[in-house]
Amino acid sequence: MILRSGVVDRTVARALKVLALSSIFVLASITFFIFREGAPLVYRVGLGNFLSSDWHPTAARFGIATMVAGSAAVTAGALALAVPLGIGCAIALAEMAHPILRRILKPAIEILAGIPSVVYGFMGIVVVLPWIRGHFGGPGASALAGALILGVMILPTIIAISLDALQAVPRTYREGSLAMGATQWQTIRRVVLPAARPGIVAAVILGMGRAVGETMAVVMVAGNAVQFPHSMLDPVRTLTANLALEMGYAAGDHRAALFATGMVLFLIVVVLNGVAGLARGGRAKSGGEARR
Amino acid sequence: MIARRRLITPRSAQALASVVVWGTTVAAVVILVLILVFVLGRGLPHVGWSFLSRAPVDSGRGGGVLPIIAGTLEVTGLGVAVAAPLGIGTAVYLVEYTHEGPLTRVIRFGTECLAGVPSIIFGLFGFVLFVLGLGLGWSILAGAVTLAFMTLPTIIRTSEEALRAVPAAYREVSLSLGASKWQTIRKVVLPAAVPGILTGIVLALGRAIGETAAVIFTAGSNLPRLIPTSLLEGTRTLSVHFYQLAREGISAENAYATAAVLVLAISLTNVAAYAAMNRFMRRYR
Amino acid sequence: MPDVSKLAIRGLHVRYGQLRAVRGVDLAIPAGCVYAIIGPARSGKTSLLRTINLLSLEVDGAAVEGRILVDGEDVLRGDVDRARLRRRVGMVFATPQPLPGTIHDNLVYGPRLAGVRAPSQLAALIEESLRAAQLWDEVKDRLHESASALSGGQQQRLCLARTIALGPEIVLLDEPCSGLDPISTLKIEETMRSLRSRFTWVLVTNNTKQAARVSDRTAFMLAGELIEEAPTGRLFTAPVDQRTADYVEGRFG
Repeated sequence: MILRSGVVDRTVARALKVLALSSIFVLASITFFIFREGAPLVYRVGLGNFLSSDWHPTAARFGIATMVAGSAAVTAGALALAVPLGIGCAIALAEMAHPILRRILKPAIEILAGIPSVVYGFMGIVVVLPWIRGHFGGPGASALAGALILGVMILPTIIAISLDALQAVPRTYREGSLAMGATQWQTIRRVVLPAARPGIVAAVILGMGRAVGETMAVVMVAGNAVQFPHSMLDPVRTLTANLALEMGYAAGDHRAALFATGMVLFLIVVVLNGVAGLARGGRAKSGGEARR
Repeated sequence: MIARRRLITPRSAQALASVVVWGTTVAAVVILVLILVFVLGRGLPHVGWSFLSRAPVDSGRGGGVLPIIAGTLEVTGLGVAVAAPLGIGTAVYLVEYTHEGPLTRVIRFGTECLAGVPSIIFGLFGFVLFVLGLGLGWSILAGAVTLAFMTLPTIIRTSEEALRAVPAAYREVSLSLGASKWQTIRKVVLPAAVPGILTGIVLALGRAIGETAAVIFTAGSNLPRLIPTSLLEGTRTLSVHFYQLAREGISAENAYATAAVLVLAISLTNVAAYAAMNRFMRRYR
Repeated sequence: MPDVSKLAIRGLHVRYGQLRAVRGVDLAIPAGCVYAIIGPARSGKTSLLRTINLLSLEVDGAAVEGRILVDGEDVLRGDVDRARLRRRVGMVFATPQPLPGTIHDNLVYGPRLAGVRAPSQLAALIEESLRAAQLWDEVKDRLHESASALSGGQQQRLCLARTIALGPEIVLLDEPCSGLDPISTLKIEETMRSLRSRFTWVLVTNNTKQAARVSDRTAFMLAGELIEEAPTGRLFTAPVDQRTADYVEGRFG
């Protein structure tokens, strides 16, 4: 059957356009829905209320400051653990490891990135909490526990993306530096790392995004107390944990406040993606093509 | 050139750096491997045929996870099955039928953001819109549609990357040999992009299987029947089951066993994705 | 006056946004010859070539005015069947680009789309076009191996063969020998010479010596305009325009 190519082409183009518009509509509706449910609440109770540290839904107090502090503490701790380990590991794999070792470890690390968060959370309960209790006393469930578990969770992400960034640096950069008498470490420090910096920054930011967005693991180990942490050993509640814990029974303004929290999380993700995009945008596309 | 005396010579800096960097690597690898060993070590011994083929007994204190495996496959399978054609079609349209410009950049930024939105927000969205708003209740359908929404941005993004990676020259050559645009896409571009697209879908599937927050609020946590009679029945997935067992302290044994099954399932899907991608790439190079 | 040329270009303007790549070119190419278009970089010769088979419109986003007549029919009309046009007017690109797959796949891709299915017909087509491109002896036992395993020169001859397999009337070549080894260059030039009566060849090249070797008529373009056009011998030995003389004698390029 030979249809005029024009007819088939036009039909296909139209069908694909419908699909694309549907997808975009779907995705936009999520954003719209969250903001439509959440924004009016902030307007109603006022920014002062919303940003305060007083979270008592029954008394119409919807201040998320303590939860922001909780998220910040846990995320900062996670990054403190995962960034040095992750970048170091990426450097070793990209620059110093035997190619066979790299070929085994890289997919292995990416597979580890797929372990569900609840499993990490359980590991936290079984291993980390007793350890903290033993060494520092207290209940164990704390910002520290959350930070340790999250740090391990985002480690594969940071390693994998930093590794990609380092491998994308053209071989000629290294060869040129070594040919001028530099040691391997000097080459790494002065040539390779600066060249890979946008990609590594993007890796860290993505790791941060994953940490901020994590729910189940922190619910299991971070304590969930609505209070400002004065030390890493205090129990905290993150923004995401708050959503998970109260969603089941929230109604009316309370539920709207949860949507407003979702809105805040969404905005954080947008900002992080924007910064990561800017960091990566500086690097020309040639990076990826050089690798191919 | 006059050599200056330094505190740390380049050679010793090199050695020091090596030690530090390899140290971090060992630490990272050890931590990650220990987790695997821990979970699989404590869980695998309890994963036997009876565990995989029986229903849970006494809220999971005994028995197995068969209906839960079924529930997981239903929810994630349906979700990805809905998202995949939609996502791939969108990616094809974006790459092949639109020109790069402000609109496509906005769409790309939007999909990247949504790919990074915490899953709990999708859970909230699905709960309020599907479970309550549309009256679906805690159901396979609500869970599947929520997962579809969640995986759509990822599938669009990975498919788009795979399509863009196909060299422009292939399209030109195909057109100049008398193929129409759709024939070019169907016979040259899509086959070349299939490894990347498939990998993206399998990875999305893996992520969906491990997903808890979005599913627990939309598909619910009721122990399911083995063969559901309707999509409006609630169900429990492996990760939700594991979460309940772990949190309520119902049965450490079965919790580990469930975790082992989960980890194995996800690892196998990821391995399959990479193996398939490598094999396709070799054939098409 | 009846137009007997195979390919006639009338008042062609090609624009990319604000950039005018081809300015008002008029050209007539007779059937069954090798026609060379020479000129320095940015002279518009590639834009001109890619407009003949509508690639500049479809792929590069060009805006085009004027007429291009193949056997008297204007191909810049809105309703022209592009696929059919490209089977009549084939193209070989500057960089060898085999499609993914085997040598066999590359050669049958076009004919299959045109409706040729019978294995015996396809086999005959394959052998015939490979012989024409001077590649048959080198690959006849390797037809089911990957096309990308061939050397650069072999790949380009394969691209020529798969274009010939379409059975076109006109073959456009965009700097086909740039970066190729001398032997492959010679073989491709030999193909053009020996098949002169069967196809009309339009060759864009920045290698003036190649144009002098192989073409019957030559056109010289500069900054989007057609400066001069004449039988090859005359253009190279007694050019009318000073700019042609300067280019041909290598005073710029």
